[in-house]
Amino acid sequence: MRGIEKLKTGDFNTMTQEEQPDGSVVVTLSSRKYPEIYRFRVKDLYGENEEVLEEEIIEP
Amino acid sequence: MVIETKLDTQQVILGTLIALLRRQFPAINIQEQLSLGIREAKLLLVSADIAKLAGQNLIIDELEGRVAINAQNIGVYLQPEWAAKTGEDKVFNVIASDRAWGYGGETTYVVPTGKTLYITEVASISAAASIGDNEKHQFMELRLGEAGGAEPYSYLGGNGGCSQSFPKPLVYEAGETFTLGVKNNVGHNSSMIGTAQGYEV
Repeated sequence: MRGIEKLKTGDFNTMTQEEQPDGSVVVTLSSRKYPEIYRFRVKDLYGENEEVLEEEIIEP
Repeated sequence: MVIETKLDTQQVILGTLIALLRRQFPAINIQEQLSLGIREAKLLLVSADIAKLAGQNLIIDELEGRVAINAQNIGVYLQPEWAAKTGEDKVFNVIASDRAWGYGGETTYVVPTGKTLYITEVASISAAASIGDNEKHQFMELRLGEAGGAEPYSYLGGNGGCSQSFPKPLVYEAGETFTLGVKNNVGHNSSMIGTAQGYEV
């Protein structure tokens, strides 16, 4: 499952968001239910033009 | 009437216990006459079972000796604790780095279908972005959005940060938007972190 899907389904315990100068948001998700960390940069989060620009899955 | 029985299983859900007792003593009106004493016991007890317990008029107070439960695992949890134990706790952070006066950042989350988000506490920290401003005031604003995102639930302020707990959790139903924002309120650039904790069930 991609990070944006985990965000939309609430499949995380901790979420951090940091707005970027270009208006996009870097979202980091982690959970005690899975070991990896999902980090992605998205523009227009929850908007009509939502688009994931970058994504990485950090393995433990 | 006195009921005397022993249950030696390791974990007993109270709802199951009630059903067992009713089968074992069908002639007894449990609602009116059963008193349950628990001493040095451990019982896995979830909130739903507390409701069952209340519905059956069971009383857990002093040891009455009517029902002895030995070698049980008993724990009564507040819902936030139980949510953490079952992995349903939530922590939201917002990071805003090197922001000028009046600027900050925001975390946004739309509660998924079928779930409800409860926020129980918030906290924040603010520090000067440059070492030259480190000894100055570090006023900031922490902002919690109302369900749906229309108006703020709460504005909090502080010099260097703030925190607050909510004895009555803030509730965000499915489809509603939770927002957590920070804003710099001093004349130099600051870096801020806001955090909100709660659970989602």
